[in-house]
Amino acid sequence: MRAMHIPQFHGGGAGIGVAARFGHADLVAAASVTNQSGLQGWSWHVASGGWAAAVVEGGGGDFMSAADTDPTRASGSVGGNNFAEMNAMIGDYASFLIAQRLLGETPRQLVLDMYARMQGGGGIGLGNSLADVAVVQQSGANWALVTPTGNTAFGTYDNAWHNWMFVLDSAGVTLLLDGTTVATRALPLDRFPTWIFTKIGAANPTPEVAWYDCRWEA
Amino acid sequence: MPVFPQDNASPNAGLGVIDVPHFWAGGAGRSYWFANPHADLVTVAAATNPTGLDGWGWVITSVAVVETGTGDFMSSADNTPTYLQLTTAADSFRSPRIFGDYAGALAAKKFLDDTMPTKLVLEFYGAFPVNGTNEATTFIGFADGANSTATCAAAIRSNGANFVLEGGAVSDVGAALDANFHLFRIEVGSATTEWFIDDVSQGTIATQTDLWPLPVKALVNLNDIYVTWMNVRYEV
Repeated sequence: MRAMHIPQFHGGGAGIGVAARFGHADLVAAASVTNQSGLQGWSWHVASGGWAAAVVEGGGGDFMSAADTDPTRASGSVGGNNFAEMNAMIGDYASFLIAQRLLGETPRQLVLDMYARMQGGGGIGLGNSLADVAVVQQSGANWALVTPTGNTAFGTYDNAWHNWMFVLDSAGVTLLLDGTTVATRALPLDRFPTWIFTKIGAANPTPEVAWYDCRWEA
Repeated sequence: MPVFPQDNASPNAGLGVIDVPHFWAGGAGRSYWFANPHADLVTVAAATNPTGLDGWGWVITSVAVVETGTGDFMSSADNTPTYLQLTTAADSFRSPRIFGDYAGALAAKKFLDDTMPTKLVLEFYGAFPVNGTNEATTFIGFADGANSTATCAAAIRSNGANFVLEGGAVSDVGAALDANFHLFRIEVGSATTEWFIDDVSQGTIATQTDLWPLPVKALVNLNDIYVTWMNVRYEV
């Protein structure tokens, strides 16, 4: 495991990507003498973003089952602001160069891999706002992949847990839902570096994220 | 593009790569990284800001972090990274003083298939956005002070017209100045120190003696320096 898989070291660290597993409430509590792991003391925007009011412990799922799952997760706060993880650091030439050195070969694509669910219109993806880079969110009875140039609707909206995967390469943005390609859009320009983004919806709790892994791939 | 054995195919892949600046002071390794700047890193360490690097062996003086985000995906031509900003006289950062002596090289050897390294490399992605003054007091490199035989082994600065590699007693003039981001690299060997801009050699100086170990230090006076990431590594 590299340090960039530990959320406390996303600021200052170098890696082929960043990853986080939201496993305890201490992560989203304020940093203090008695809680040195609080992410807002480690370059995160937890407080200013108004996100992740709670970490909810799961425990009601079946063993390794995708059909019956209840993960421990960070949970969005109603009435809070949209959330961006931390400083812009993903997808630009500078981060590409770092990944090139750590991979030993030239990165070909950037992947945001998340296990998450949404209720009440919440959204997840990359960017500083809803239509900044690429976000998936509810669109009436459907889902939609949202980019600065418009939306592409697909599937049927639900509030179940899914493995969402955004793949960015020179050809554009491709969205996979549980391993199946569901939408593609043109690659936004003049938006990088960027960061992980979640949009707060109208209902509670929304969205919820168990983990994410954003990585360069050769 | 060179392939660095320490970071992929080596049997030691993953070992000895200190990939966060917090562990430079205490971590034994062969490759040391600083990347992804955030204001918390250059803010005084405290109970509410445990990530502040001055609590982890660094000296940080009035460094800001600027976040942009208007470049294109993976593009070197349309590129606005998040960076450390040193723009006011005496702004500086200084890493722990650990690089280039026998102890450091010997520790790196443990992570390089037990082969003694022959080079110490500083690579950084940065810019000299204000560069019109010929001064030794704005620089970045293996140095603990300005252009001096007692403190500077290999640091890049401006002479008002060109980039210069300064070695205290010696120097080498490189490409004409501009304000753009570049990939700078200094390779210190046992006898010769060579430097590169965007993988193009700029020349060499004699490797300086009786100075090591040194930190990575950046300091500005009238000129300015931006740094997005940096990597110090030993190579065989």
